[in-house]
Amino acid sequence: MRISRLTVWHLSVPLSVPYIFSGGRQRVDALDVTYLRMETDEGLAGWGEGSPWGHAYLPAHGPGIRAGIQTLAPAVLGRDPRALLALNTAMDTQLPGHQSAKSPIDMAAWDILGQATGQPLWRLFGGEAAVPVPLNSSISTGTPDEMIARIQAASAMGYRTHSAKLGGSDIAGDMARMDAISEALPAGENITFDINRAWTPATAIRVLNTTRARDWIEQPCETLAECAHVAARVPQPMLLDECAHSFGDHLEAWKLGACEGVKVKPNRLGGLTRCLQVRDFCLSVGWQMHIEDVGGTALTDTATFHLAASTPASHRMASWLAHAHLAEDPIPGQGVRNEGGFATPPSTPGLGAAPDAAELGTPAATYEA
Amino acid sequence: MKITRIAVYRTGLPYVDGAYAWGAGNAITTAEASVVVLGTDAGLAGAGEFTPCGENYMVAHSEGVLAAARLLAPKLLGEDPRQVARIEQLMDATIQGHGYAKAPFDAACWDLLGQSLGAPLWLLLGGKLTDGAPMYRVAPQRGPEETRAELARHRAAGYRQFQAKVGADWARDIDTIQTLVPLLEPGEKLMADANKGWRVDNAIRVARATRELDYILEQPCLTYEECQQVRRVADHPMKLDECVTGMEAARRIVADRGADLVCLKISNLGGLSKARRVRDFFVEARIPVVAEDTWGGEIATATLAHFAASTPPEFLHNTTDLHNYNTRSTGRPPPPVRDGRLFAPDAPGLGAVPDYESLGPPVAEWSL
Repeated sequence: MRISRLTVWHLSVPLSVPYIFSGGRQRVDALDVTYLRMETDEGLAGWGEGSPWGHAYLPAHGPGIRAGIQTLAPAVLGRDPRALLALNTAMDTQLPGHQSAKSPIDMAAWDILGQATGQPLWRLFGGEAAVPVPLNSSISTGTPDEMIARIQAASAMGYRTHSAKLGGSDIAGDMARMDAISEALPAGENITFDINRAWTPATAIRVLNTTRARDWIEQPCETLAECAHVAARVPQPMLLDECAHSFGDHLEAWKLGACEGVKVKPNRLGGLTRCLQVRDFCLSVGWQMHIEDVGGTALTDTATFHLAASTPASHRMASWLAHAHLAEDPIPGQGVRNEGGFATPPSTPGLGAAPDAAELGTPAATYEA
Repeated sequence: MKITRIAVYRTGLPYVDGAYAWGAGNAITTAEASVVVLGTDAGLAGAGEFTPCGENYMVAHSEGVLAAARLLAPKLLGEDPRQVARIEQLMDATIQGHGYAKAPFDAACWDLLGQSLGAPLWLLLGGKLTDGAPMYRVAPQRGPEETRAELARHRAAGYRQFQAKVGADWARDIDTIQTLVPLLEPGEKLMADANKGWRVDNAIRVARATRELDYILEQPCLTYEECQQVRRVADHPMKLDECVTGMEAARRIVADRGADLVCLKISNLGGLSKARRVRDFFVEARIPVVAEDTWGGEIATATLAHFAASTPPEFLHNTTDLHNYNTRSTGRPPPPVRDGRLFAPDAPGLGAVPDYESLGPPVAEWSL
């Protein structure tokens, strides 16, 4: 089986409510969505997606993903999409880095492998059943009362795990938010305070040793070294996200004792293949994981929930449905959806979701063998 | 002063000698240059260039500049290009990473700052500490007689530093190093550059087999950690290049004493503004640097000539006249080269303007 054509679409999908980052540093009004269809000489076609959460969240931006696919295409066309490791090696040789451009290609190839073998991705990833995965909310920053109201609204939709965005220049404000939110949290619900790199190590150490909250803290500072310095000096468990881009970064974090868990995100790590390596490493060192992506439509969410459902519940925390933030749905009714605070991946072969190409408009680019 | 027009140009730069081979089985025949030109309401235009050494040499490809420009241009129009640090912050707030794609915008702003003040870039960067930066030449890898003759020609042209391209076949690489080192004259240097092409075990084999020979081992393996594994075994001075990606990498190298020499490629560090800070950090830590870029024509070379000129001579290992590796140009005039040395232009700004005849029409353009 050979990859015969790659077709790329560019969509701009508005968010229902503009998203404000921790500390108010960035605002996202719409997602720049890249859809990719991978066709083969045997008639099977797979779908992939790359949707960065704005242009300044990670080293990933929409035009860059499409430019990366253009550079990668000659190394991808003509290859067997089922040979995932060989495909990823060829992509790394053709274009070092630029993981966000590789992720949609890798996702589409997994979709084809699943269809070719008649298996859903959760089974290919080692899962026993299509188990429902609990959902992780994403609570945009605000006053303590506003944030508690958003958490309560999420609870009403079934969410039991929340991710609250903190990290302003106002240290007292962050302490007040953490104390108020942690105390208001209903019994049985969990929260992570996500700083999105906004604090200096000194601020992190002051805030985290003063607050009464003992919930998870995520990515307090910019670099791994800074986060490791903080983790050794505060009482809360630590999650890392934006500073881990490669398997080596995770190994370094483990050596430094920098965290007790990580976010596993295909668009940041370079695809599902790379996520599997990291997922298995996390299992081996006893870390907890949130398995989700940086952003996306229900297509991306479906891929990450296959990976989440295949991961032992003992090491897996909740997963975020990125598409729940969108005002439009390019694959209406398909893929994972919120069902009372859980979402379950499809059990049809491959991803189990596919956009209708006729509804996507004119492709941005087509590459043929 | 306000930026009123932004144009991106693309042109292919064919290698002067057919194919340029590097690392494990890579070769380029034509490098793809991207040139960014910023027009202003003051009538001045500034230029910057990024050219990768092939699409897969570093985390940088030629399509990336135009892709980043689509997001950067709307933010930069109307801004004052002379406020280079403000522009740097604005670009970093617009797109994370992708420093190589921002590098030509950064250089174009420095060019405009220099032109507006009537000062060459070397003056704005602290002065001409090195007047004529020493260059190296890639040593031929042919029979001993032919190699000896070509080394003599380079020597007559003023060169004292040579680079052997290794990294493909470790056993043959041992022969190459053993052949070349005895041909050097006292005071001359050889860098054996694997361009990250060796596995750790094979790099260690090479280092052990050539233990008695005086040469510099350059970027033997892909990652910093792998290179350190080799460094623990090798007696040779080590030069790191491709893994020197920014201040965080520099911090580790200084803390670990992880290299004896570092190659600073302006685009790999995210542009002149960032490269300069990394350079100053290494100089403070007394680690000598190479002032360089991945590849390029006259505009990229003019930028690195100013970067080299503003580096203290005792901490400037060498530099490269990248523009002389191509049969086409991105700008004019070419930065001066004499006696194996590269000189920074004395004209205001970069001292090189775009060669529009070679660049052709812009591939994209934005204006106020």
